[in-house]
Amino acid sequence: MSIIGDLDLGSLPDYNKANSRQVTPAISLQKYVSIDNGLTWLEADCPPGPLLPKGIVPQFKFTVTNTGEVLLMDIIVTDNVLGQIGHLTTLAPGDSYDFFA
Amino acid sequence: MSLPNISNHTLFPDINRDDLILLVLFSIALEKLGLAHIVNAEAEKIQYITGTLEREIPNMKPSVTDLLNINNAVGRILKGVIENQILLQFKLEEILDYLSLEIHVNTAMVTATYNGETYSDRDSAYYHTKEGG
Repeated sequence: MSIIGDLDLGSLPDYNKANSRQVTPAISLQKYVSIDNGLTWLEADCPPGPLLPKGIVPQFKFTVTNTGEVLLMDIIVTDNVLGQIGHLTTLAPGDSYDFFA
Repeated sequence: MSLPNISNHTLFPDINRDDLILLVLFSIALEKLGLAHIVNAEAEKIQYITGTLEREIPNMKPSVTDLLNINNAVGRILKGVIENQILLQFKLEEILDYLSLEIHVNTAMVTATYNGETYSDRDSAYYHTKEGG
């Protein structure tokens, strides 16, 4: 006879299961560079990227997309070279916004 | 049957651009050193047959035909060496061209908030400029 047996506490019922739908906030950023004054935009994710012709200043586009399921607030885009790019108060799920610099 | 590959691809796990350029230049130097040894060996072959190699005297006196044969053999080897030199020259020009590139990268970050929590993402874009244009 075993003195110390296993104590089965069972499991608690999940009362909130029906009402606790998980929401997933998420945001994505895609940065593009243009070497023709904004005519075409290249993702240029890998070095060395496109060749910048002499006399042309590179332009950048920043596409922010709300890839989650909730309204996001206070969206700020910053660049390590150009500094702060822009600010949005809100961005609805599925919506995108382009910043230029 | 599978394609050939470099099995020990983790030999240089954190290689950067400068390391890569040095490695390619080093490989060119080593190949040229190998070619120099081949040219030297061919020169010694001629020296041996003509009896001008120090401390080495040929067992027999070569005929004109022997000399022409050795000349042709050395010529064939040298053609191979020259072919390889041309390839190395292309390789060197490519790497010198790559050296003249200046690579620029901008990295951007976006942050957003929801219920007091912050969510973010980042992305980079590269472009390059070339010396002299």
